[in-house]
Amino acid sequence: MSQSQTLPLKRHQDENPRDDDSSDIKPSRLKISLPSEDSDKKILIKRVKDVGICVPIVYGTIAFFLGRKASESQSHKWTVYVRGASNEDLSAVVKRVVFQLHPSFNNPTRVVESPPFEISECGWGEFEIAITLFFHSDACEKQLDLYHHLKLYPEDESGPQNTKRPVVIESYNEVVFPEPSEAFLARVQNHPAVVVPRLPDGLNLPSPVPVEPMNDKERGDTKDHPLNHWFLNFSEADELLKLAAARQQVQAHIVKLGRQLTLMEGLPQSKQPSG
Amino acid sequence: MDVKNILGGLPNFSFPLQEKNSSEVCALTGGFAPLMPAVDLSLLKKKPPSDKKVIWRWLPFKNSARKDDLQLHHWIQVVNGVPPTGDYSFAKYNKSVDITRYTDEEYEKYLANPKWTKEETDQLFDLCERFNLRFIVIADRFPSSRTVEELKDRYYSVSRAMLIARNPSSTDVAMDPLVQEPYNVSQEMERKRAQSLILSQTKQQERRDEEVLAEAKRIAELRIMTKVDLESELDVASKACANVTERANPGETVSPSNTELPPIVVSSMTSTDNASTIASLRMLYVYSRTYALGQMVQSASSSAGLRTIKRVDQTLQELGVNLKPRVPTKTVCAEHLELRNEILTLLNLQKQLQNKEVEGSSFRDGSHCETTGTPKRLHRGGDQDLTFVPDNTSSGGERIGKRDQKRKSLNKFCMLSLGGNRNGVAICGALLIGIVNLVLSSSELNYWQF
Repeated sequence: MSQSQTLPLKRHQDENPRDDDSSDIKPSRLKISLPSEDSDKKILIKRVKDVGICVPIVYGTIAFFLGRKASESQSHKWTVYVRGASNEDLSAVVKRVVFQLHPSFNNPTRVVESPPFEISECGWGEFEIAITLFFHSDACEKQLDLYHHLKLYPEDESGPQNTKRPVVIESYNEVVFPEPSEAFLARVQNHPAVVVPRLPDGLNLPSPVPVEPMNDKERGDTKDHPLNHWFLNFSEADELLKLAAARQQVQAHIVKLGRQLTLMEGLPQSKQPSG
Repeated sequence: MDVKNILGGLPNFSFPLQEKNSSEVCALTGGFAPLMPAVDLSLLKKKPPSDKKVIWRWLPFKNSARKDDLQLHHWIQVVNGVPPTGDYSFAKYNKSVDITRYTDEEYEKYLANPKWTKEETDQLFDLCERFNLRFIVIADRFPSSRTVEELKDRYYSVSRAMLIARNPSSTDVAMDPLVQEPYNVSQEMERKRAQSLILSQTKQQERRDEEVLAEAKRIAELRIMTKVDLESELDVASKACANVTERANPGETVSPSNTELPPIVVSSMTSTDNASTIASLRMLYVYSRTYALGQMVQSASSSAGLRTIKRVDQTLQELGVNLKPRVPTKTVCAEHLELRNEILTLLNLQKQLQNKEVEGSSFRDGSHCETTGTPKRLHRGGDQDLTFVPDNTSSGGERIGKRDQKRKSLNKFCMLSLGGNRNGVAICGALLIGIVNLVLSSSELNYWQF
């Protein structure tokens, strides 16, 4: 069913002669697939190869100590959430989020159908929360599972907890769609929450069909979220710098050892004993 | 004698020989002491004077195992005119089972059973007593046809019920196997059926079963072997790549192109791993970046052993890099992977260097003992006679120290064989060695610390 032939190299070749090969580009770029997930609809979904799009997200928990209002069973008020990494609206990609809490909670399976994708609760215990992302049908039929450990107590146990300073644990991740469907790509290619690489020339996408409209009242982004001043910043620059420095160091060592090795090889040697 | 010549002289050991021609006895037994002490014939002829007078007599005896008055006779030893006393020696083997019999009231109270009449039960118990619970015989003798399992079941359940009835509160009874493990008819029948099935398997069936089992074993082994082969292939591929880097620069001292080769070579080897991981990721339709990174790291380190993986992690930590990036974007993950690959290359190179050094020292320890090899050992400004003074000043690590000791001990052999060879080679190598040693002594410290 799927005509997956070309390697990325061919794409570079195709980009130059545009005129003649514009008709050829399409077949090599598109893959007609009949994955099992589409079998219910029995519709051929046209997917775009070699254009992987990703949605950077941040998910985590913010926990406040309740101080005077704290009781044995409810000492902290915490919120678990999923947000766009730059606080963009995720609802274009994410249809709903299911938070699976500890079974000691009432209705431990919490479903959030619209942004902001978060759950606030009161409790005393730390546990692992399972966060499942469900995407719109044109994006992906499969769900994505993430896990986050709820932390209520700060690392340094110096003195009583401050009600003003919450314990914030966030994780950065990216949701990758390696071969998005044409419809999905058309819909989100200009969306701020989605990172789309440079699209190859000659790619004809259908006109976007909007998904179920959101509530008009609420915006889906978290730029004005009440907790947003606790959100952490995730900048890849620091990490890249560190990695580049490390790579340089390692490469320098490789050079040194390489030299040593060749010197040892280069010296005239006796006939080697057998064995 | 012939044997003495063959054996190249007989070993010197002494063993008491009563025969006079000891050499011939030795020849007979192949030069070793005989396993059995030779019986002294002189001893055989003499009999010790015994004070016992034993005769055999045909006498009647009493057997306590017999209930009747049958009088039997047998040959028995009479010692000094005193016939043996005591019971017949085999009477002690006449053992029987304790079978508790029930009274009629007990039967009515506890033991009534629709499938069994009292009469039958009585008969069963009589037979049990008579034949000591040999149920196969009992089944044979039982007047109405009942299977062995039925008889056993009836007997054991009756005994169990009686035991419990007679000792309702005793804890010993509770521990009695009769109570703890009651007879299970269905299980027994199933067990016997299965047993008979196996026993009655024809030779063909047996052969077929064996074939199937052997086939399964072969398939399992094949699977393990292909796994091992894959790993060893990757090992071979990595070694091949490493060899390529060495041969590429045979005699050049410093070459910047050296830096490019190792990383490229490693990445070409891992590109096949990567391609398959990428393909498998594409199958998922959606995945998280951290998951993808994990998969790529796993596939890259699949060819490396556990220790290597740990060393890579250690190196990352030393470099101040998070083992799992805090901001795993596409570029960060790509860089992270590249860094890991480079570290693997570095570790490979280190290992190769180590091997080379070991090889170098082993060459010298052998009978060839050329002066070439790692230059450290030669460098002493052309003073050839002192080349084997170990060079402890420039060595930075333990390993070199050990090698020096080894060299010291084998000095003698090496000195003998070197002779004239050393002169010619040492002269032409002196310059090069001087340069090399400078380079090495500066970089060596780093090398060992890393």
